[in-house]
Amino acid sequence: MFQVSNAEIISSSVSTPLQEWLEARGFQFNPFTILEASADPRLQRYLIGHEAFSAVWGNWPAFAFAPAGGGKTALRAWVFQACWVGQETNRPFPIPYSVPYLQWEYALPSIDDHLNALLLEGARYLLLALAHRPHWFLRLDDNSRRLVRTVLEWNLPGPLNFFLEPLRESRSLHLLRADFPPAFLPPQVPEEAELIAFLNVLEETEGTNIVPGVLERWDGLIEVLHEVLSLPATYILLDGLDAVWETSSDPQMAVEYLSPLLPLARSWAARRIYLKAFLPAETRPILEKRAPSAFQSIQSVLLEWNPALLAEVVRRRVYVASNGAYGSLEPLATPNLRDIETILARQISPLPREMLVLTHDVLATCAQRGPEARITSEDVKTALHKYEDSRPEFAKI
Amino acid sequence: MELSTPIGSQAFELLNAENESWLADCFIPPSEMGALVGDRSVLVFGQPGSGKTALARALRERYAFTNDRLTWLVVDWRPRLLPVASPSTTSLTHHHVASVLEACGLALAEYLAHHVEAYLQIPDWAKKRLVWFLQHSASEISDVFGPLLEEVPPEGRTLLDQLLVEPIKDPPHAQAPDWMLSELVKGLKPFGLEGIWVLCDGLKSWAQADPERLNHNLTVILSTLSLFERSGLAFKMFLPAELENPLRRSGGVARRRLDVRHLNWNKQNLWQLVEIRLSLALRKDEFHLADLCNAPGWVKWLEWVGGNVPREWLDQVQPVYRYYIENRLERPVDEKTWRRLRRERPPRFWMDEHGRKATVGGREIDLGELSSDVYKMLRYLYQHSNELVTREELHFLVQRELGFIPRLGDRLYESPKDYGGALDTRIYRLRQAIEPDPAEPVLVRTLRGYGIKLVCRW
Repeated sequence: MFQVSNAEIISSSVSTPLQEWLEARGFQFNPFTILEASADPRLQRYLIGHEAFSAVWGNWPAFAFAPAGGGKTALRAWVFQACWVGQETNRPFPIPYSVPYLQWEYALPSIDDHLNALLLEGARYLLLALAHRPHWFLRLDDNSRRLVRTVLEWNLPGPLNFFLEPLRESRSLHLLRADFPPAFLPPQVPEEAELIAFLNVLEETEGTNIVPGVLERWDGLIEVLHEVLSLPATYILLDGLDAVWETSSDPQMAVEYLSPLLPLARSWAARRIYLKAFLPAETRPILEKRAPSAFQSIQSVLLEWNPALLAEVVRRRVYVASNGAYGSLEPLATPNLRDIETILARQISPLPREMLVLTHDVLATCAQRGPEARITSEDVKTALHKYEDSRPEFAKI
Repeated sequence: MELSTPIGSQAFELLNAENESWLADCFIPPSEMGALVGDRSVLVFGQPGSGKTALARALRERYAFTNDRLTWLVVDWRPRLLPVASPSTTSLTHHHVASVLEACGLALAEYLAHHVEAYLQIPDWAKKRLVWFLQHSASEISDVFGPLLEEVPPEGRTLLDQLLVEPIKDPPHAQAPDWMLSELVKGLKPFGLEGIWVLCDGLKSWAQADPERLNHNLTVILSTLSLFERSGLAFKMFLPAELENPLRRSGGVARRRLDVRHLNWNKQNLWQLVEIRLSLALRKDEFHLADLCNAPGWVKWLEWVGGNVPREWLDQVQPVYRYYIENRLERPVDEKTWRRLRRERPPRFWMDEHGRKATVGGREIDLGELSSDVYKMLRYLYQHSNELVTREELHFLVQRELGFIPRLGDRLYESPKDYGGALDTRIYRLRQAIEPDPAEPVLVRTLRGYGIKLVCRW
């Protein structure tokens, strides 16, 4: 009764008209289904240029503000991937840090809470980095290796062996990579032999069972990154401040959660640790008022979009998903729909996520008429009507 | 036709997905089905009888499988609601996340108890994660797992008894719940499972009893984004339609971490749904609506009364089907009989005074267009559902709002001849508004010489 397929194009085991429509046009996947940037493994393939990047990328602390759906996570992923260009340690080390609300029980976090959570993420991303670039570790002397192992043991959320076992058994990185958001994975995995060599040497290296206090562990992590591995800087990529009801409904509370980190930004910068915070737009006026000196010393940028940029977001995705067969949706539409992407972009609040939703709705509407249907003005009208029903309050024009 | 369970005369009696063991045999997927499976979290809204529970069951019993192999571990979860005035939303979040973990632990335990051989063959790293999750999924292990241990096969019980207390070498020490869930998903992979579906259904009674509490609790849960960003973990929640607007404010919906779907059935699906059930019940390869009843207005009536609600279609077919089998008919039920049957079992009727609307069967009727006189009359009849209401009551108590019925000779008395015409006009307008077939009313009944009665089946 149901078509079951394992094709990459579909995210479910039940085929839908849109999947058939895309397949009929040679699309390799639906580029409009993943609405959360961190979950998109292909994100960097279709990121488009945005001037906000230059404000965030560099050796300084930075705040990037945007409303929900405004591209904060995508920008953060872009910075992350920019750190991973090349094979060497000449780029900053990125630590994506999503505020771990569920890790903290019933109170606002202290500096130590943030540092503990950062150490945990730092160690996880350090293990991920070394597993992808074993030569960073293998070329170290014994003492340096011991330092690395020690920092991992101090800060990982369990014994090192707990994390190495699956790698050793599977002889690949896929189980480790599954622990991280797809957009925050280093490109290129090592050869199996290199991975095994890394695992063997890491296991042979002695660590320590004595776990010091949080500040010492923090110093240890930074020493390993900057001195032992010779990475030029560390970027702390903070996001997810509005990831629970308490903070999404009250930006004041969101700032409360962030505030322990603010006084650290300047002293961190002196140690080449740069806080890059990707924050909800509503927190900006509160931060300006609450911490004026911190705010002034930190470069800030508002992530803004216009119809031309949003149209480009769609075109780029179409190009990548169709393997270069189409540069826009125009060839898939009736002739009267010239520059369909801009037409759509003008109908919505200037937010990339909303642009993806509307485009998806247009294609899904068109696909209802069969795999060969062309996008019509009527499809756009119907999709807009449907989109209105789902438009979030903050995306109302 | 092979049935997993014989349904016979039961086919149209229960109309309650929880209790229809044969449901899988006659399930028709709605057009949204493709969007409900897979690893996206989704909220499905539907009015009563729209098939939410049937859909939840279909996900569990059919769509969680690929080629007969379980692909998704299905976890039944129902939030334990705390009062709106809870200590803080943070504690509320932790409370609900803890209950999700507990439900996942139970589902895992049940799965392992039925897959002992497979468990023994998975790698040690996966065993370690599953055992660790089991032991940390609930604060009171014996309370949570005790009842389950009584129900599982002996070899499963032996395994669980062992796993629940087994020391773990090199266990992880961080226990952030979202991290635990990721480790659980990883541990399930060697079984060939893609991940976990957390199914949530059956909140209707809360929606009726304390909608504010339900909204608040669900809003908090649905705003906890990290629950909906985990690869291999998807929530499938089936919710009463009236919750849709308030829940749109939640962070997860507004930020598109969860999809929102409405259960919409088209006429074709509904026909199919009824006919496949008739075929199964009567053990025929094909059986059409016209084979059951050939009255000229029958299909139009079904479409009007059933609206887009499967249960109401089935409800209207029920008396005809029952008559058909009880009388061992070999030809369709005739028009005269059908008209009698529909009078005996009119569509269900509800009135929502707050929203100024009514529901007749599966059709919602906007009462905003009714004149205030007619609306007042309907409200009075509804308050006296299934009771005989005299014409005097309708005129003196409802229309003139006197508070009593004057007698002949009283100053306020009026003769029925003076108000009868206007009253009849109001009754006519009411029937035009709510009756499926105003020419032959089944809801607003006249008992000649006595008065009228609003027949309500709830």
